[in-house]
Amino acid sequence: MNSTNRTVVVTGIGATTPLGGDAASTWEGLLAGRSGVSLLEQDWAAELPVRIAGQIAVEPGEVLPRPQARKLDRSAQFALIAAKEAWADAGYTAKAGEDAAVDPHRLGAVIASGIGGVTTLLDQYDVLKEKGVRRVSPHTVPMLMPNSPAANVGIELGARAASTPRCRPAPRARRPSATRSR
Amino acid sequence: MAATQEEIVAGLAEIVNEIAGIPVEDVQTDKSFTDDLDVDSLSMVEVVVAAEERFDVKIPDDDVKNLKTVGDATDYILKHQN
Repeated sequence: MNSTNRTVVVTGIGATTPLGGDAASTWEGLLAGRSGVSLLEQDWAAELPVRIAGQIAVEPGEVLPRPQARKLDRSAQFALIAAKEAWADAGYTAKAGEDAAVDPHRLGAVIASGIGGVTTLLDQYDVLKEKGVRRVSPHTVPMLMPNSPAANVGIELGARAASTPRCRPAPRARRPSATRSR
Repeated sequence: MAATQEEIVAGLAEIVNEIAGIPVEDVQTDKSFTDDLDVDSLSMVEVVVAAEERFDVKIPDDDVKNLKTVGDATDYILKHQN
């Protein structure tokens, strides 16, 4: 094996999904052939043409401490719950550095997000319109930014090497800039 | 009717409990928001806005930096409430 052909090793698994609040219950649900899809009963979905979705089985607000949960968009709440489970599953009992087995500067958090904290963006836009600018949460930007899941997992687990939402390798070749019109 | 000092401290304690999760009995006048009560600068903005609403008082941003402790905030609200 040459130095660029590295092997990925999975040391821990965590999940919070429409089938269960952790990896074990999710796996059990999959094996049982259960569907995680349910009816969207929320007001905001009332006028959608399709009102079914795979909704989370265990609300993250029931799992995370309230002061922490209220500063996080759901996307980061999900990431944090799954990452903490994976971290514990790997056998660690404290964040990197505090658990001497992990060097914080060799640990990174890389978590992709399709949009980021879109529910925060929409909720706070409603607050802006209905209650005015002073009532908009000061946590709005750190909550809605797409790198929030990676950043918050990085903080929680003590990852000092990197925290990034990017999940694909950098392109190997770029188009020559000369092809751009000037 | 204007709130008394005790009512303001109790109100601030409820606000800090909601935002930072600190038990209400730990929110005393000598406590620093940032050093003792786990209220960071962003959460302090939330505390101020919640206090403005609850006690019918305006706390301009320039004055917020002077409100280091629960006692500072209580005195400010006592003096400025409508």
